[in-house]
Amino acid sequence: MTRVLLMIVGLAVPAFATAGVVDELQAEYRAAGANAPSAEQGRTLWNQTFVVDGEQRSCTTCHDADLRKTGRHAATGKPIEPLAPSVNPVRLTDRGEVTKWLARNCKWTLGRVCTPEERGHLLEFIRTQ
Amino acid sequence: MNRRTYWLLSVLVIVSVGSVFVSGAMGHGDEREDQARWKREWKDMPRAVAAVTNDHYANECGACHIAYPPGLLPSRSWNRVMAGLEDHFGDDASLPPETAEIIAAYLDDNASDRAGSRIGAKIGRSIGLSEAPLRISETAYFQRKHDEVPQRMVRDNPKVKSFANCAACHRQAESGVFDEHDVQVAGFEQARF
Ligand code: HEC
Ligand code: HEC
Repeated sequence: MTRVLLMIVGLAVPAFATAGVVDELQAEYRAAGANAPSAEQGRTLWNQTFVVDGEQRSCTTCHDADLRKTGRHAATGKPIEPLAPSVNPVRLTDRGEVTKWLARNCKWTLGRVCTPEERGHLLEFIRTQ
Repeated sequence: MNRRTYWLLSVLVIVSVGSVFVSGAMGHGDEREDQARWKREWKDMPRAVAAVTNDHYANECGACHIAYPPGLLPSRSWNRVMAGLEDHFGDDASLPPETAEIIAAYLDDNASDRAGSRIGAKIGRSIGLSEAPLRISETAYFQRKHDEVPQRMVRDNPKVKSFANCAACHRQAESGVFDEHDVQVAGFEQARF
């Protein structure tokens, strides 16, 4: 029952939910010393290539440069549903999922955790897609 | 050497050779019994491994690949997988401790050495007791079953990429069904084995 209710709420107010989770995290990044988040800087970071373990890596290795498209896990080939909230409204609505994947995927792509400011830019970029 | 020592020595030799023989035969008997017991148990088991039933497991461990049915590996393997999530085949798959605990318990309860299935039993038997492989695709049973599948259908095939991608060939993998008559390699739909 709770799950059904949550699903209805999740479907009815995705825009609101996105704003809630992202705004909350942006406030925390600012409090940790980050400069104002910029979607443009987020886009640059999204498309930037890093060399980790002798491999060229980028967010677009598994997702796509176009966030409205389905991506593919680099090693396993498993499809990754679009990240853009405009076509996949569940994105950016679950705080635990957002922080978990930001932490994991920064580690893989950049070879280190992202700074609060970088996380802010990335989320600002993703939310506009 | 006088006659008595000679006689004693011969008795000793006969007894020791005999005992080696007897113990050898007993060893065989044990093994035969073990085989027979295994066949009996195995006959009563369902062929397919049980499908995944735990939501935490399905969501977390099904994010980057299919959620492998737990009956495909023994519990000692799952314990090792769960102990190394931070560097999981090059990915960070670490989890909050509460979630990790639930998943570890589920895997342990449903591992191949706990829940009986023929495929699980065969995989389990192909793993040495002191070994705990992290991959299903690394076990002797798996390799024997797949040695006729060429790399051009796997590594060099963008629709498959890796043997870890069970569902690209076994369409019902997540339900635990790995029937050899039901295999369709993505991108090579016409291939027969
Ligand atoms: C962040 C992505 C990610 C997550 C989450 C993840 N895995 Fe994996 N897993 C991988 C990668 C990458 C491989 C290696 C795939 C390859 O070699 O093709 C892998 C391989 C495996 C294999 C070996 C498959 C084989 O037989 O070759 C097992 C078993 C496994 N994972 C279990 C788990 C379990 C259990 C969890 C949940 C606790 C989990 N995985 C979560 C990325 C992930
Ligand atoms: C590239 C395709 C491919 C992938 C990926 C693949 N398999 Fe298979 N598998 C096959 C083929 C083909 C056979 C049948 C071999 C034969 O009949 O000679 C088979 C047979 C099997 C069998 C034996 C079935 C029987 O009836 O004897 C099992 C069990 C199995 N696979 C499990 C797995 C698991 C578990 C994975 C993932 C970790 C996997 N396979 C990944 C192609 C694949």
